[in-house]
Amino acid sequence: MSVDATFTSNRGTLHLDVDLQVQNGETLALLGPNGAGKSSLLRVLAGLQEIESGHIRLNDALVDGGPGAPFVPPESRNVGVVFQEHLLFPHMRVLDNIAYGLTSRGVTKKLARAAAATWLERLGMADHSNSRPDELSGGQGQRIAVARALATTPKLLLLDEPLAAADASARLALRRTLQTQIRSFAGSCVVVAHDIRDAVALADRIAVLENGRIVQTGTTEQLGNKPASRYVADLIGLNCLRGTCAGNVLTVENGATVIVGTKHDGDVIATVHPRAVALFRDRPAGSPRNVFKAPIVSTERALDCIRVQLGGNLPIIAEVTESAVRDLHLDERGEVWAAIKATEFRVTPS
Amino acid sequence: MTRRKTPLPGWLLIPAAIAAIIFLLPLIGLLTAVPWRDLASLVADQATIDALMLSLECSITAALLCVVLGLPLATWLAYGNDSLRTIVRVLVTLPMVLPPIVGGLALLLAFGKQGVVGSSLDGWFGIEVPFTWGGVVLATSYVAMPFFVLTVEAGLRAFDPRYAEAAATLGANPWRSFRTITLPMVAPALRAGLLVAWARALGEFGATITFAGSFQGRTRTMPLAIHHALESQPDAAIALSLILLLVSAVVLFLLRRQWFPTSTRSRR
Repeated sequence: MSVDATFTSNRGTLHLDVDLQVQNGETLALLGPNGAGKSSLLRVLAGLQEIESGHIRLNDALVDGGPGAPFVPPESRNVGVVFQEHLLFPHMRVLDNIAYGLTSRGVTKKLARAAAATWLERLGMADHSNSRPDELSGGQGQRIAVARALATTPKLLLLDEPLAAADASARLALRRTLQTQIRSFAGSCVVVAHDIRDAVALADRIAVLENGRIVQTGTTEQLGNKPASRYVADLIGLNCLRGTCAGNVLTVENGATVIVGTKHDGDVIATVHPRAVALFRDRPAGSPRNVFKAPIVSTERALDCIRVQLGGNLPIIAEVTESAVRDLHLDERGEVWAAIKATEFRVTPS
Repeated sequence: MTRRKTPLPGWLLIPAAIAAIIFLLPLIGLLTAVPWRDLASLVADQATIDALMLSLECSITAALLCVVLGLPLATWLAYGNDSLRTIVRVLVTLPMVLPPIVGGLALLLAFGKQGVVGSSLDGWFGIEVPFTWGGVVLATSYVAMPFFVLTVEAGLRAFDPRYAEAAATLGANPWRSFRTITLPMVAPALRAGLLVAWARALGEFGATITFAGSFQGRTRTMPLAIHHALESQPDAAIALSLILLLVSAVVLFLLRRQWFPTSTRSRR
């Protein structure tokens, strides 16, 4: 089901002003800081929240045209939702939770239960058929919630931070299950994610929502090449500097200056990959245009490298190998020399 | 695993014991005064059986009316926060605060032959409510339903509406969602409300005697029969009280799981 959502909607102090398209069969990850309106956006698509202006079209059919226009209620939209806290019905056993959507659509209880049992089988949870939802772990509950939503064969599936309910140890397994379920699901899918890795694992494309607006959509590569905001850059793991450029001299907001490889004038956002920041014990010789001394604030182990947070005038992150950490005695804290080639900066007008 | 409870402050036991004794002493007083020898004949008396049956019929009918009329009202009240609802809630609460005799009088002024509604009911349909079986039901419902409505409204307000939203996204229309999700999830409040309302209806005296009178076999419920007997044959009054006590005790015992929070099974 294709989604064409161009609307404004208010909920409390949050003002959504969204323009979002999802292709038929596509999975879109929705990322954004807390309170950006991700859940509200899903609610609007599901029909749980009305829009104030604009339109929501699902497969070119208008389901909400704003006040006075036709409004298709959630029960008639054929949109499945997996809620953040799974919201399984506590008074029904697991099997009847999954069967609920089918019986709501007029399928007999017997057939609906048979279909629900198939789902449990597929998820390897057949022995939980008679369990109450409060007997399940967070990850198991979320699997059942996904099955409950998919059992009605919706055309569009919305997942609101499906990994939030699972504890750290169950997270990877749940992500793998979700991946399988989303891949085998023929319809379109919008999944709210908190973590860029979840987004990459589950989705074809990422949309970033900030303060109720979509600031950027694209693949991680597209986002990394030209992040539209500091949040996007942080999300991708890039260093992001905001400041004013005069020629190839960038003056950062706190007064520090760096030399960049391209010429610009005016306010810009410059990003540099942490791998491009080289660290030295002594002042390096050679050509790098940006050489400065900085205190080490913290070091953090990432998957295949160590991320070193530098302080001082230019608080950026450097990625170095483990052997480099030993050679540089980084664990002793103190100060190091950092060098960045001017050409490593990507500068875009802000 | 046994968990150590935080100990109670010791002095608390004294007022607690006094309170318990206040409830115990009247019961002892009643039981010591029961004319055990004549009990069988008093109980088997047609008037006693009539009164007991009438009390059970009317209190159960009032409880059913709570579900049929009170539940929709409670649902509507719980659905919003406007001034109309505030006014209606005050109206509903009034019978709890008013002396029942005032309620009975007000009912009489509304449904009596000269009353606002009563005159038309009588004139157009020939229906007379006061001093009839229906009058007893109306009077007891008037007094008992507020307990049901307010209990159920509180339960519905505590219900997390996101469950209803989840049901809607699964294709359930509002009626199905209310029936299969909301009601089962507020069942404890429904049961509690039903039990308080029924108990209140069973013990109703003031509004009934004012609005429906005390006609043996027609409107004389147990409390009215006790009141009637008290004037002429106190022994019969005591016997009737004992019966009412037993009925109430049996019902409380049967419904103890719903009624006493301590005996409900703790959920995992």
